[in-house]
Amino acid sequence: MKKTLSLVLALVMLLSLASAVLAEEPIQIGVVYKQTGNPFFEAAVRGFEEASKELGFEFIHNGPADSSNEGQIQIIEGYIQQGVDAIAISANDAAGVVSVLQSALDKGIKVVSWDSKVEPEGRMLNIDPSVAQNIGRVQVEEIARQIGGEGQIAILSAAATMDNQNTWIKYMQEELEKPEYAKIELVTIVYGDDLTDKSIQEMQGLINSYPDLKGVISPTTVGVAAAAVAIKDNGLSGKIKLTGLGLPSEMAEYLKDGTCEAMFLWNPIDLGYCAGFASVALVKGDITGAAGESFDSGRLGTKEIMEASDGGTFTLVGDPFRFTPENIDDWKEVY
Amino acid sequence: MERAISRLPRWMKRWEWILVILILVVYAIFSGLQPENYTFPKLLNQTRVYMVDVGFMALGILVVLILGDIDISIGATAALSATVMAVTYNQGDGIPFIAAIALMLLTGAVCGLINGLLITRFPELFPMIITLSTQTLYRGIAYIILKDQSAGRFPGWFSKDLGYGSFSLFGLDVPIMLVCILAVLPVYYIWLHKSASGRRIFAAGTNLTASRYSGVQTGRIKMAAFILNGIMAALGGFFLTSRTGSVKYTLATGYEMQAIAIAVLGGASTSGGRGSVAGLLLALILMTGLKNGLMLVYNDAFILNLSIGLLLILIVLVPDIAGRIRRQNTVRRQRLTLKKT
Repeated sequence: MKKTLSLVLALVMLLSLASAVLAEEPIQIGVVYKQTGNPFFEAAVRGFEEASKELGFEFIHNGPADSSNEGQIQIIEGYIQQGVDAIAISANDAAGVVSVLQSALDKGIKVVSWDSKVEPEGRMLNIDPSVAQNIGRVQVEEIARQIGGEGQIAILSAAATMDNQNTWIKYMQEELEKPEYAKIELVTIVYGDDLTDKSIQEMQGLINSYPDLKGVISPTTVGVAAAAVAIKDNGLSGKIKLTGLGLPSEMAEYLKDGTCEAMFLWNPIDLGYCAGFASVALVKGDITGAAGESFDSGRLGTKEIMEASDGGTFTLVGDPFRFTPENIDDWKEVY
Repeated sequence: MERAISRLPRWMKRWEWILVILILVVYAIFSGLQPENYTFPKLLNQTRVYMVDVGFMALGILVVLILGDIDISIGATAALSATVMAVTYNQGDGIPFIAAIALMLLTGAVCGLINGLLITRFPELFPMIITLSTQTLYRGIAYIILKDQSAGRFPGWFSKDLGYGSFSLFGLDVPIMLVCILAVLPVYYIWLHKSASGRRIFAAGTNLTASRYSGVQTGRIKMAAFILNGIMAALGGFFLTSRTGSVKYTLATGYEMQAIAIAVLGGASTSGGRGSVAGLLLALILMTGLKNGLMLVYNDAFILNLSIGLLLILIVLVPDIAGRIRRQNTVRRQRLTLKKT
C-alpha cells in the first residue's frame, strides 16, 4: 500500500514537473506571409490564432511591405535569431528563400510552407489549399460558362515567381486544350505582382490591347479585386467577364453589381489553422514530413501527407468554394 | 552646456564620435529590451542581412556624393548586373561562373559609364533626373531579359558558403561576407583619405570651378567616380544574390535610398566636399543594430521603415542645427571683441 502510494505520489510530482517544464517553454512558430496589409493573410493569421489557442503554442507573424524576396529573407533571419521552433511561410519566390531556410533547417528549425510553396530542398512539408488541378479546372469552366464558350480570355496573375499561381495556370492551360474549349483563345498572361496598383495597371493594359477581350481569370485575391476595379472604372461590367480567386469581403460589392458573376476561394482561416497544427506536429516529432505519415488537424480532421510532383511532400486542406451574388452575404463578414 | 561642448578637444566634436555614442545607446536600449536575442554574437550573424550588400553600394555612392553628384540608379544597376550573371551562367549550362562574375562587374561598369557620360556631357541636367531615367532603363533591360521569372541555381560555394557560411574566430561565428567588406574598407580609406587621387576628389567636390581652373581634370574624375560606383553597385548585387540564390528584375529595389542614407549618415554631404569611410562603417553598424533591434521588438515592416525615416531626418537635422548654433556663437564672439576694441 505504502509502495503504491509513494509511486503514485512520485508519478504526480513527475507529471507536474513535466507540465511545469512544458509551461515554461511553449512552442514558438514564426509565420511569414507574402506581404503585410493583405486581407487574405490577415484571415490566415486568424487560423493560426485559432490553432494556437487549441494547442497552446505561441506565434509571431510578419511579411514584407513590398512582397519582395529580400524582405522575406530579412524576416526569416530575424526568426532564426529569436530561436523559433518552426517557420511557416507562404513564399514570394519558391527558389529565393531556399538557402536561408536551409540554414534554418541546419539549426534544427522545422520548416512548413503553406499557400505558396518553397522548393523541396528548403521545406519539410507543404500545405496546399486544395488539389491544384481542381483549382485550375473550376476557373476555366466558370469563365467558359460566363462568356458562352467562345472568345478571347486573359489571365491576370500574381508574380511569376509565386509557385501556387504558376501551378494553377499550368492546369488551366491543360484544361483549355480540351475540345470543348476549342473556341476559347488564351491571349496572354500578365503579372500584377500582388500589388494593387500594378494589377490595375496590367488590367488596364489588357483592356487597351485586346478590344475583343471577353473574359479574365485572376487566380489571386489581390488581382481579382484590382481587375474588378479596372473593369468597373471602364464601364465594362458585364462586357468583360471576370472570375478567379477572391476574398468575399473584398468582392461582395462586385458580385452584387455584376462585375463578377461568380468566383472561388477556399477558407484562408483553415489554411493557417492547418499550417499551425502541421508545425506543432513537426516540432513535437509526431511527423517528419515524409509521405505516408498523417497528423491530427483539429476540426479539419486527420491530414495525410502525400508525395508531391516536385519531389517534396504536401497535404491538402479543402476544396474551392463557389461564391455567387446569392450566397455572398453569408461569407462577406467571415473573411 | 554650450561652453562645456566648446571646451571639448577638437577630435571629440567629430561626427564619428556622435555615431559611436548613438551605436552604444542603441545597443544598450535593445539589449535591455531583448537580452536573450540582441546579443553581440547574434548581431554579428545579422550583419550579413544589413551590412554587406548595402555597404558596398554605399561605398560607391560615397565618392559620387563627395563630388556633389547623386546616383539613384544603383539599385537598378545591381539588378541588371546580377541578371547578366545569372543568365550567362544559366544554371551551369552557360559560361563558367568566374566569367559570369566578370561580365557582371563589366555590366556594372558600363551602367556607371553611361551615367557618367550623360552627367558630364549634359551639365545643365540634374544628375537626379538623369539617373532616375537610367534607373528605369536598367531595370527595364533586366525585365526584358528575365521577364517575370527568376533565375538562379548558382554553384554551392556562392549561394551556400558565401551567402550563409561563417568561420569561427575566438568562439564567434563571423560571416564570410562580413570579412569581404571589412577587407575592402581599409583599402578604400587609404585611397580616399590619404592618396593624392582621393584628395583631388575632395577638392573637386568642394569647388568644381576652382579645381578646374587649377588644372584638375574634373570631367575625368567624375567619369571614374561613376564607373567605380557602378562596379560597387554590381558587387552589392553580387552579395545580395548570394543570399537570395535567385535573381528577379525587382532585385535590390529601394537599395539606392538605403545606400545614400548610410553614406549621408556617415557624414557625407549631398552638396559635395564631405564624406568619410570611417563614418560610413559606423553608420552601417548603427543601422544594423537599429534595424535588427526594431525588427525584434516590433516585428512589423511598416514600423521599421517609419522609424528609420524619422531617425534619418533627426540625424540629418542635428549637424545642421549644431552648425547654426556654432555660427551664432562665432558672431556673438566677434561682436564682443568689436565692442572691446
